[in-house]
Amino acid sequence: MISITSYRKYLISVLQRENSPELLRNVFCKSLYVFLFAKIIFLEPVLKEVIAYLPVELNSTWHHILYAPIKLAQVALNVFLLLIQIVILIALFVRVNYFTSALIFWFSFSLSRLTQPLANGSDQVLNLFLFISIFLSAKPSLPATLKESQKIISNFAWLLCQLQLVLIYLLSGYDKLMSKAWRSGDAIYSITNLETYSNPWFAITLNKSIFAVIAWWVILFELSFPLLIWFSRFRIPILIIGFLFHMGIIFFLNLPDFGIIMILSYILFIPYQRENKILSSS
Amino acid sequence: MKQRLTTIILLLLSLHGLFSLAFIFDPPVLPPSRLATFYKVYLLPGPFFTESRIIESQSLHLSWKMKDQWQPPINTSKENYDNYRACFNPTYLFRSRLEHTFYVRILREPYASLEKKERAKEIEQLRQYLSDTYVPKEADSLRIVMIKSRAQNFKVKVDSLQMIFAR
Repeated sequence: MISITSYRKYLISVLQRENSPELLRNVFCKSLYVFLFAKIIFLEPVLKEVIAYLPVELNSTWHHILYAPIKLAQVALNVFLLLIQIVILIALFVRVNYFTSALIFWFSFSLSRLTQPLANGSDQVLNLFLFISIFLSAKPSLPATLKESQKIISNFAWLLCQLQLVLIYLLSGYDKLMSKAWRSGDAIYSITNLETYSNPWFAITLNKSIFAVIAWWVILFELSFPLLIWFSRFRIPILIIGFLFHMGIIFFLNLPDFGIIMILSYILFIPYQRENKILSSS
Repeated sequence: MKQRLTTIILLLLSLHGLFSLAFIFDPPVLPPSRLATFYKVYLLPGPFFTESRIIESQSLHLSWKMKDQWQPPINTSKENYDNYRACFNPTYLFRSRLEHTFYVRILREPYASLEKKERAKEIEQLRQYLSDTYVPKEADSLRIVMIKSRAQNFKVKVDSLQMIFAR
């Protein structure tokens, strides 16, 4: 009961805090935009083929509205790409605001639908954070009577992003814990045999015990992250372990987009006091 | 106003937390619902590297016949991966994923549940793509060998499917 009360007090203090981590919010949102911008540049040469060979069929009126950018891409791909890139560039040079955030999310969501055959977890994570980040912005400022509510919603969005990251790890960790193949290490053996994922530079012959140790290390990391990240004492060490883990995914499994988006999401947990120090020293 | 909004948000946050935990642990008593689907598709990305997605690995080997001779097969998806590793240009990675999609669909099981018409469309899309992208115009036939390997219980089992098309 005491812990529920203190948890509630903590949440209220987070939601109503005055000095919100604005620098971190800007860095987080803009790093998502840079990621999307880079993705579009590298996707561009393949997009024509995706549209030509695996066209998206929009069946309902609702889909036509929701995925209107796809219609534009199917008619004039270059215009569609140019438009997204211009919006992202504007968003990068102005303060994070509701309009550009919402537009970027809409474009990104449509792009993910268009490129579904090439999509992986990174698209889902990116779109989720882009959606929540619409509410992260506190610009344009609302009238004085609503300013307080605007700040609370912005703080809520930040907390929600943190919560979502934690849930992603919890879901993956729990699924692995329930899987016999992960518990025995067989899953790591399977991954090393994925022709298109595992990196032959690092191809080494391991025995069953080492496979099991690696698998359990992954399970324990994914299950401990959601808990330990909330304690300032463990925050930095768990972020460093997570960073190394995702770098491993980038190089060993050739999944740079997934590894990068997960590393970017760690901005959400950069200790807040440190940001104050950075701000006061500048 | 401030207190009311904070209370509403706390309530929403608690509800979201409860729903998320319910859909993560997914007890058998939980009936399938639209809310569960929405959560799983949009709000709870993952789980990643699930057993079903890492056990099977597929590859495609393409060769074509020119002047009465079959050319040495190429593994297009693998070549794209190798190019990515050589220069870290993600475009190769995206192309590799696109090609992978074409043949993973064809190799998926069970074939019986798939309508003949739909399967024929998928095969035609693959043939058309390979023909347009890799096969020289002078070639009169093309041969596709798709290999499905299953790495499970510390053993690898391999199965293959061959298709020959006239141009």
